[in-house]
Amino acid sequence: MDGIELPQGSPGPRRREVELQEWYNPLASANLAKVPVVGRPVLNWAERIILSWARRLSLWPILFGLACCAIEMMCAYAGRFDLDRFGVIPRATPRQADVMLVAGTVTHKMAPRLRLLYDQMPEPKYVISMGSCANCGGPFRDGYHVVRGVDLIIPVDIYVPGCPPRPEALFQAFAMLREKIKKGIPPVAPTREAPPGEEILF
Amino acid sequence: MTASEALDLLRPEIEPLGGQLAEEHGALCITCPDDRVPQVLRKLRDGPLAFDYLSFVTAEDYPPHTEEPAEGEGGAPREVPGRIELVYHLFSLEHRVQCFVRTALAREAPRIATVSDIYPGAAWHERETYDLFGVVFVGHPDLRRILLPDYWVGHPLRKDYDPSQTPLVYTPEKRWPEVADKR
Repeated sequence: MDGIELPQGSPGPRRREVELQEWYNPLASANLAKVPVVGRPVLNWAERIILSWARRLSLWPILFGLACCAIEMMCAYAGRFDLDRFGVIPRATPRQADVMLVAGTVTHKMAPRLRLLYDQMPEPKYVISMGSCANCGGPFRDGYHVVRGVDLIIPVDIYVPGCPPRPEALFQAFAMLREKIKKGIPPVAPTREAPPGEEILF
Repeated sequence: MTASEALDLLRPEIEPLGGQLAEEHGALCITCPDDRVPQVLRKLRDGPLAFDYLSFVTAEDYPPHTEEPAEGEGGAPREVPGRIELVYHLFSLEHRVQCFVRTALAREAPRIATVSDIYPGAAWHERETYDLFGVVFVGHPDLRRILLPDYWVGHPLRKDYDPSQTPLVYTPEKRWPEVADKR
């Protein structure tokens, strides 16, 4: 935890809403910039190829079913479509996940939790925003309680349109993500600069 | 048991408490003054029909408005003061009868006694009604917001709710700093 400055009177595990809100206040949050970057010397081409191959064939998403899009997501994992055969195996913890699959409506109450889970994922991490609600708020955009797009909270790599998208659309999202990793395009996520002479692994 | 049979059974119990009974949509509907609600509900629970299940508690908001006189009747338009109507839905699992209990509260600072000591399941429903309508339930063990975050200002299901009261954390103008230039 060196380098991470928690606010004064650091909240315990049973944090109240207000304290969470303070901690995750985007206007006051400079915490992330102070997380030290773990890097290593530049990889050679063989290492890059092997790494990219391994990474793109085992995209483990963290389950984030929030609304009806989650039903289509479950359908994509189940027998008829079987997303598992592409190495997309759902994980229940952010520590083991590579992709965050935001499937559904993000409310203002959910937003700090979503950000917290995103921050707990190891890098490199990708985000797929599934469905109209996660993309822009969808039919609830003018409601008092809905965040108008999950990209206000976390950086999004791939948007899947639809209300809700069919499993095939989700398949294409993962195919695009694979293509992105294959081409060596870094995720939208990292904004921290690596120290001189080192590189973040992609 | 039909609603009209239930009505006849309950009439001698409820009418002394100031409740008016009627049949609406095949269910029993009781309208009573707001200070009699706990007594009426206790009577219903312990009475002959044994309403043992409180399905839910909710509210309706009627803002103040002007009522035009009916066709054929003269007179000036009538000012109707605003009110909040609380609705308790009860069900008797044994006798298969449904019952609504309605009561009207003043729209400014609505307060009513809790029924969570009679039906413990009412506690969350009352929290929700407090959260979304601002009705204060006196004597409630834990009256906090239940659906909205604690920092929320106002009660969104009231007709005069102003969404700009709550300073939202995530808006296109105020994103996470690292997301700001990445859209």
